[in-house]
Amino acid sequence: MPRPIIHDGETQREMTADEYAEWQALCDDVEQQAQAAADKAAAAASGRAKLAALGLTDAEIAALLGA
Amino acid sequence: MATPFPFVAGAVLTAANLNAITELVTNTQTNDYTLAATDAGDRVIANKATAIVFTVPNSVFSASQIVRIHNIGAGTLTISAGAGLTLNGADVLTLAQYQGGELFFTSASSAIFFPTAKTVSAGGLVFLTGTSFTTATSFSLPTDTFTSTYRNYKLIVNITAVTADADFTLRMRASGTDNSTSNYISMQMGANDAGTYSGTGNVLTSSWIAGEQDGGNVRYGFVADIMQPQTANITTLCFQYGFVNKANTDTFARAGTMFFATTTQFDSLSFISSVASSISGNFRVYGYADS
Repeated sequence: MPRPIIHDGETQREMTADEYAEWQALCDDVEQQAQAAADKAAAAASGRAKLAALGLTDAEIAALLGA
Repeated sequence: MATPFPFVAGAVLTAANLNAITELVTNTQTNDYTLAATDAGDRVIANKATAIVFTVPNSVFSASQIVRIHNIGAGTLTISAGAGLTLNGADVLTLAQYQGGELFFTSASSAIFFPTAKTVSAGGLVFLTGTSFTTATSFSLPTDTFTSTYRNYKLIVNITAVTADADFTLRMRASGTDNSTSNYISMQMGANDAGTYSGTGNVLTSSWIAGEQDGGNVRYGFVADIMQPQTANITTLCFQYGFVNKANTDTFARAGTMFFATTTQFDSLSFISSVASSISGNFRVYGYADS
């Protein structure tokens, strides 16, 4: 199966084996970062929901946590 | 030259010789080239679709000799001084397509380039390189896009098609290799099309976040000022980009600053998609001329 295509600044070509391994490692990193950001956003949403359940208004929550 | 240059005592000047004086010999080069003694008085032409370099060697030419240089290819021609040679006119040593000039030697080790078809930049942006890419996983700027000629650069990226939902990242690059060390930091402020603010960033990761893009509703553009990548200082990018998220539910804009945490020198950078062979578009790079 051909490896993915890249544009290396001069021409388009298939990735080398080393470039392919490096790219896969980068994709894993990006996925982990995206998951961490999603977890953080979910935690923030949960915190806002708890504050709202306590009776705080949106303006009061925004004053505490930011918009 | 086409004539039996240099003429010697007793040589006969023919009509053909005389006519040839007005028709300079052309030496067309399609790859990097080092000027040779036989180029004296001739026209050396660069014709390459991508960047090309002409090197001016030391101790090959002599005082008062000239070489005419023209670039007819799409790739930027850089005139570079060989070891030991002093080449003046540093602000005019990159030639875009259809630009040219005359290289005048003041000695065997010193030359001046006089542009004849290029307006010398007066502190503005100078186009350096740009091309399109098609269904690529990533694109990299050509090696040596960032040089000592300019301190700061502008990068403009247009993504015109994406085959599937993808995340985008950036890495700095040197000598043809992306830097994958954990030295990338970014602070990114954003808002969606409903005016809801959000932020993101990364701290000492192996690349910079450059957003994401839905595979079916493509609206992605990226622009950045890249500061001092080729000096022994912290490389800094001040950027803006816009995109449609992978869920195709929001359009976002982000702006901020990216740092590379060490003083590594870079000559290029790469824009990378998380999906194989997925992005099509084009990029342009400009240098900020000081004077």
